[in-house]
Amino acid sequence: MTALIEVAGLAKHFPLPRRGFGPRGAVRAVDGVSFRVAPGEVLGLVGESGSGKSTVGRLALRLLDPTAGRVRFDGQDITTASLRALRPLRRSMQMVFQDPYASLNPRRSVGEAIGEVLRLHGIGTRSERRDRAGALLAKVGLSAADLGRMPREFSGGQRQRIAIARALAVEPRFLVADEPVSALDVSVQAGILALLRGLQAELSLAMLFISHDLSVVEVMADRVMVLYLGRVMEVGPTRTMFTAPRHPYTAGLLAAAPRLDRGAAPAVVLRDEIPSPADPPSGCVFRTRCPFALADCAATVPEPRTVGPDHQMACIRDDVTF
Amino acid sequence: MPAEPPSGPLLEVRNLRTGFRTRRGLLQAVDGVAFAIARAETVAIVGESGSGKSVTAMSILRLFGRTDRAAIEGAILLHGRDGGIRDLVTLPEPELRDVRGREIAVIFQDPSASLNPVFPIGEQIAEAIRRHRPQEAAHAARAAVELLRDVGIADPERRVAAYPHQLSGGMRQRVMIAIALACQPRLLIADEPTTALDVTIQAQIMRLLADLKAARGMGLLFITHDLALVGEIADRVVVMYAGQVVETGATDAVLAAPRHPYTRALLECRPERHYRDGAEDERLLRPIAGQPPRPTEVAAGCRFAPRCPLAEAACRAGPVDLHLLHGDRQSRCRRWDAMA
Ligand SMILES: Nc1ncnc2c1ncn2[C@@H]1O[C@H](COP(=O)(O)OP(=O)(O)OP(=O)(O)O)[C@@H](O)[C@H]1O
Ligand SMILES: Nc1ncnc2c1ncn2[C@@H]1O[C@H](COP(=O)(O)OP(=O)(O)OP(=O)(O)O)[C@@H](O)[C@H]1O
Ligand code: SF4
Ligand code: SF4
Ligand SMILES: [Mg+2]
Ligand SMILES: [Mg+2]
Repeated sequence: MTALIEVAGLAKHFPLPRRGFGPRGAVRAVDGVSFRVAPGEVLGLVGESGSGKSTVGRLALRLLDPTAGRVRFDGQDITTASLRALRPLRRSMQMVFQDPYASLNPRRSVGEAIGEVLRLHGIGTRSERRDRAGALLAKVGLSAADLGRMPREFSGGQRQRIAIARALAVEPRFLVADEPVSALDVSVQAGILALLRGLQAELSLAMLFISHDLSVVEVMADRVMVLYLGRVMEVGPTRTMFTAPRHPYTAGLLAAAPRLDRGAAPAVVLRDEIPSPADPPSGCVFRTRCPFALADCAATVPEPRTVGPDHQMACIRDDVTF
Repeated sequence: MPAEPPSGPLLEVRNLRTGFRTRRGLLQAVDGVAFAIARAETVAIVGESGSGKSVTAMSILRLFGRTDRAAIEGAILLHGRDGGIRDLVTLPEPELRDVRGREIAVIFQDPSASLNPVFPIGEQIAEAIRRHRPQEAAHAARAAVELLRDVGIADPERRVAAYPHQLSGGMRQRVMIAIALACQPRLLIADEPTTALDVTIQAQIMRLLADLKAARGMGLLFITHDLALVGEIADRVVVMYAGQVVETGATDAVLAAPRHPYTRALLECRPERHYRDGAEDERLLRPIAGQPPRPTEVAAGCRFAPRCPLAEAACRAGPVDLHLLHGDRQSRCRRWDAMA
């Protein structure tokens, strides 16, 4: 399938403040990440805090400039495009953030917030924009009668619906959703997820869906990519990733997630914490926490290799199963 | 220290009503909550945001500030090691301070708010030891190292000198647990201790709490909004809705066959995917429609009625009491037997 978004060898190193006279260090937030998202496909992105998920999302939209690597949108290289050349593409790529409180201006009515996005992209007359904003609110489960209300009058879940309506106002083809339900109560999360999933299918949106909650990613994603210290550990179809993971880190993440139907003891218990990305381990970055690490794991960075249909992982061992 | 009898009641909360005197009148955040914790038992309180979980926990030790203008009614009976019983609702402040130090300790979701940023963590643990176990003051520094080791911090001799900002969120929560353990509490109250943490660190903290509890024979009151965590740690569960207990019982029984529509809705709103061969997977996304009532606008009848799929006219007519089903299983639903 042709990709709408194609990312190759992406890296982002944030320089650290200089200390003394030594060489200036860097936080290797993202290192050598490649992936593709097809039109109408949802790629889930998981990993512990600090693994680089948000940075990947922002790089994919070129809200950040990469240190290395390329992002192509619909065949066009957006990493080198000028801001002017980017402008028409901006409309096709939108983002929904975790915090529905911070992403809406408290002094703007909901109608103004959505109308503003349309105006920026030169869409419609004033009254057409108003009609369109009303229709969008209805689509996300609110109503045109809410157009004049202020963000503070809405609950967290309703605000996230508004943020989704605003992101979809300009009819994007690619949406990055960065922890869109993490700040919401479990009882309302499912409603937002159902809304996103429905709109995604209806509009044939390509989506990068970021979450640290595995059960949320499992229902949303067609494929899942696992990041650790800025590197891709494993990527594959959702079912494969959840029922037959091949990378020890994926298995460890799955085992750590609380679940009601816990049966046997977990196959992999993850100890300690993610090391600093300013000083990642040599070779396989996961080796300091990996229960299966061998001496060789410190020597070379494992190359991603194909282990099944549409399924790649970066581990030198193939004698461990979970 | 007298040995703890292996069983029997530790804490009994009876008809707890906690309100806040606000400018717009009394806000009844907790309205008639009752439950008991036996010695060495783990009880979980679970419910949506705003259901009154934290207010219940804070009421036990009267942790409100003066500006909260809190009014606590009911009884909170603490059974002593010697068999004596004290009511924490009426206990004079100096004696309650003693309870806070020596009998009951609390950890909260955000450890940063409870740690002092300008002192090394070892110093903060040692200070807790000196305050609560003066007889061990001379060895406090060494005991602090041991406590850090107990809570799973590697290289504790070196780590005692670290400041809170030099530690990750998970480490800070371990330090908070170490401080709580410094007084050798008989009951540990943990209010969403893992909510801000990664699942991997959450799993570590959950294991730590379970191990410490077993090793020390502590009671544990574990507050969470996640039913899966309840299943992992608690012997019994108390489900709260809009300031009231709506269901309680043994964890396994409640999770396997809820007898209140709210408990069932909480179980069902967790996303689930069922894989299908040769067909579209089934994705279950079942939110709980509507919102909980604000404490200022609770209806006269069942508080869950506006969101309840089983509601009928009689549910809205008047207050619904807790029904005793069998054993210690209770449900505040008129139609609990329609749920089997
Ligand atoms: N602007 C920045 N300057 C310096 N370092 C940064 C910057 N943005 C991110 N980082 C660092 O890059 C790493 C990856 O951060 P990122 O926010 O992408 O992680 P994440 O996987 O989204 O984590 P979380 O689950 O906590 O949101 C972290 O170590 C972070 O501290
Ligand atoms: N100091 C206070 N003054 C006034 N109202 C308060 C105070 N503390 C809590 N409340 C109110 O009491 C109700 C119960 O709050 P509580 O903090 O116990 O909820 P919770 O179940 O712990 O929710 P969460 O899951 O969000 O922590 C809420 O409506 C809250 O706004
Ligand atoms: S390469 Fe080695 S350290 Fe890395 S995941 Fe595989 S076994 Fe573990
Ligand atoms: S009493 Fe009625 S409204 Fe309340 S939970 Fe039971 S069935 Fe639903
Ligand atoms: Mg992030
Ligand atoms: Mg709370």
